[in-house]
Amino acid sequence: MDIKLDQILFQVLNFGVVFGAIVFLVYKPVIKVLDERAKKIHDADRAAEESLKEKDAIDELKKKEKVRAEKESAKMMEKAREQATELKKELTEKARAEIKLDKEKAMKSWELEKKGEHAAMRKEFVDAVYAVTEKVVGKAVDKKAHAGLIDKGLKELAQAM
Amino acid sequence: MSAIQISISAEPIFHLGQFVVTNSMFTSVLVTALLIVFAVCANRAVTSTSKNSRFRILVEFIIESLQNLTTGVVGTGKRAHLFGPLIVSFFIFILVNNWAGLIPGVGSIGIWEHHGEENIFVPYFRAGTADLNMTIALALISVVLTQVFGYSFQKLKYFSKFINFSNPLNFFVGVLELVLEVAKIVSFAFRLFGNIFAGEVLLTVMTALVPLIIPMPFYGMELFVGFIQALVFSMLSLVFFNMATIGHGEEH
Repeated sequence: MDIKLDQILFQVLNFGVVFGAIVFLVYKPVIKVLDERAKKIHDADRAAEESLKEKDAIDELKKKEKVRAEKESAKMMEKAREQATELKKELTEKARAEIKLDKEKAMKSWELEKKGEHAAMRKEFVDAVYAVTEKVVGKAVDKKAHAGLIDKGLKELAQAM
Repeated sequence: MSAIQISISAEPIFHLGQFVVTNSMFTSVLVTALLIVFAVCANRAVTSTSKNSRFRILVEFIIESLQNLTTGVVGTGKRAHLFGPLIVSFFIFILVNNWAGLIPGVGSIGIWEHHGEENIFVPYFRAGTADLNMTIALALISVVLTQVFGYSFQKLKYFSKFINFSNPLNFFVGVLELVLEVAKIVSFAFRLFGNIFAGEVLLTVMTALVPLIIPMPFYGMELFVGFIQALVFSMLSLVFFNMATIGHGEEH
């Protein structure tokens, strides 16, 4: 076994060169990249945790809002139902009153019309009776003198009809 | 069957003035060149903003695994940043040098030299870690750096474990600690050298006996041994660095 100082020193130098190359060209850049990646992962983890917390808070808020909205909607529905019932009642009453009014008006108008028709018919009938009587009797009939008689005849006719 | 020639020391292949260049030095220089090319490619892959390539993922995996190993022992802090680069460099340098001995042609491409009446085969390539000079160099780096880290963390208090006149027992323990530091060099150097050189001998013998198929499982085993030895050296260095920076009573 030859142990030679110059060869040992040469190998020390040789290792020194490799050490320099590996440290400056490989180790430091790789460690820098790994540190940056670890930092990025750490930051992303933290951001994800914060997002989760935020999401939980939003979920909680959403839940509360949903419950509140449901209560409010139930109240509104109840109120609307009450209003609708009231309105329905009001409208029905109003419609009934209107119908009653219209009916009364129609009845009045019908009564008036009926009376008018009766009067017209009566007049025509009276005229016809005069005409027939004049022809039967052979002389003119005095309307004022025979008014009682005519009215009696008419009543009897109306009863017979 | 040709005679098997195994040399325990690296063979000189040429001279640069008075400086002898051995086959293991030549191979380790090639490995260093390869590692520099790897480092440049890795740097480009890591610093580029384009999408992740498989090579980049591999590089990140290697560095991250070794860094995690370091932080697992010394924790995340100043020590991890200080020891991490050294552990990564030790591991990669030793691993590639160990595996370099398994590349076909290493140990088998060479030249026949005449030494008197003997013809000796001198291979051009030999794994760097199969040369004791390299393993001693690595052991020296590790042990010297242990002292440097010990001093930088504990200042003069660190040396009190070697020189302690408080009582005869402590003085004797201090002497033992000094011997231990020297033993660390021997242990580091011979463990790595012994394992890798033994592996090469095993492969040479097996290949000489049965050239086909039979050596294949041994190649697999040597890949594993190369990896384990690189890991053992790195981990022991890491533990020694860490122990040196922690004062007495701080361990717990």
